[in-house]
Amino acid sequence: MIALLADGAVLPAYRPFIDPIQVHALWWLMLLPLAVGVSMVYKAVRMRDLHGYWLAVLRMTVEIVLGMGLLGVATYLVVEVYVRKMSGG
Amino acid sequence: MPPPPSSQAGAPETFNPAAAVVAAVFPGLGHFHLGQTKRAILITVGVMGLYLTGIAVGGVACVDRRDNFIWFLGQALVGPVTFGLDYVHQNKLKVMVFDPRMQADRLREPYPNEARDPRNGHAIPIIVENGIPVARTADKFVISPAYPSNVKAVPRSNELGTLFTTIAGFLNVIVIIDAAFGVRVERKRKPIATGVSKTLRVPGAAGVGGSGGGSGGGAA
Repeated sequence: MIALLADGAVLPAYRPFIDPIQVHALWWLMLLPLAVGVSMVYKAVRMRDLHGYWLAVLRMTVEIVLGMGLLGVATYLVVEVYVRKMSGG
Repeated sequence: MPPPPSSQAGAPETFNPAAAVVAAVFPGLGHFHLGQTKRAILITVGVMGLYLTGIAVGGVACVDRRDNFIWFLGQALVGPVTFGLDYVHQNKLKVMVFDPRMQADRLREPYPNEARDPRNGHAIPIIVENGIPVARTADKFVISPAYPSNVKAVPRSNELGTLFTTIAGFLNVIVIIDAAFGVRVERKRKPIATGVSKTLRVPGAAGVGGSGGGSGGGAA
């Protein structure tokens, strides 16, 4: 399956690991697999024994996602509220 | 004081260069070498999961030592798999074009209307004949149907893929250090009440870790 574009460009069917996938609109959702991967490796290295491993991974994943969300909210408030207020807008 | 990483309390941590070397070859192999099989599997799934997710999202163009060298340094920390992927990208997917400014051939990503000549890697323009994309070289070599050998990601996909693969590399550094100073576990040997080797590590076993009996294993 291919797609022929108007300007002559040819787009082949998606080839996994060769072509990118379009995550332009949902890029922020990629935080979740990123947080899971980081938590898995960190807890695998850090935990003394692996009892309760997945619970610890889940907890760290939630902490990362919430932390990043809070950082996003804080950045929004600084840029959209504080900076506008300081600039008199 | 934080607990020692992935080592049993009381057991001495010794430098193990062999574990560090095999850990650098492939994520998790160092802990497997140390006998910590479950931990090795979790590390492999974690690091390679991040790495492969990055390649799946951003495509193979995320790993590029020529055009993206600084990020490549971080990706290279995953191990030889990055160098292999970059070799495929440079030699099997990029196209060779003549650069008039440099007066020499150079490699670049194919444009969406270019195919790659499999004989020498040169770029061939794709034309559409009867609805089928075809590429013809000057010496009558024909590729039909012809596609670009790979598609460079739109910026956000490329950024995400590069980020995922580089973070996988940084995490593997932690893994390599942990393997280098890890404690070896002897496989398939049941712990005995007395005479347990100082280097023997039995995760979760009562009495060995000094937890004072019971089954309560502590989390990090």
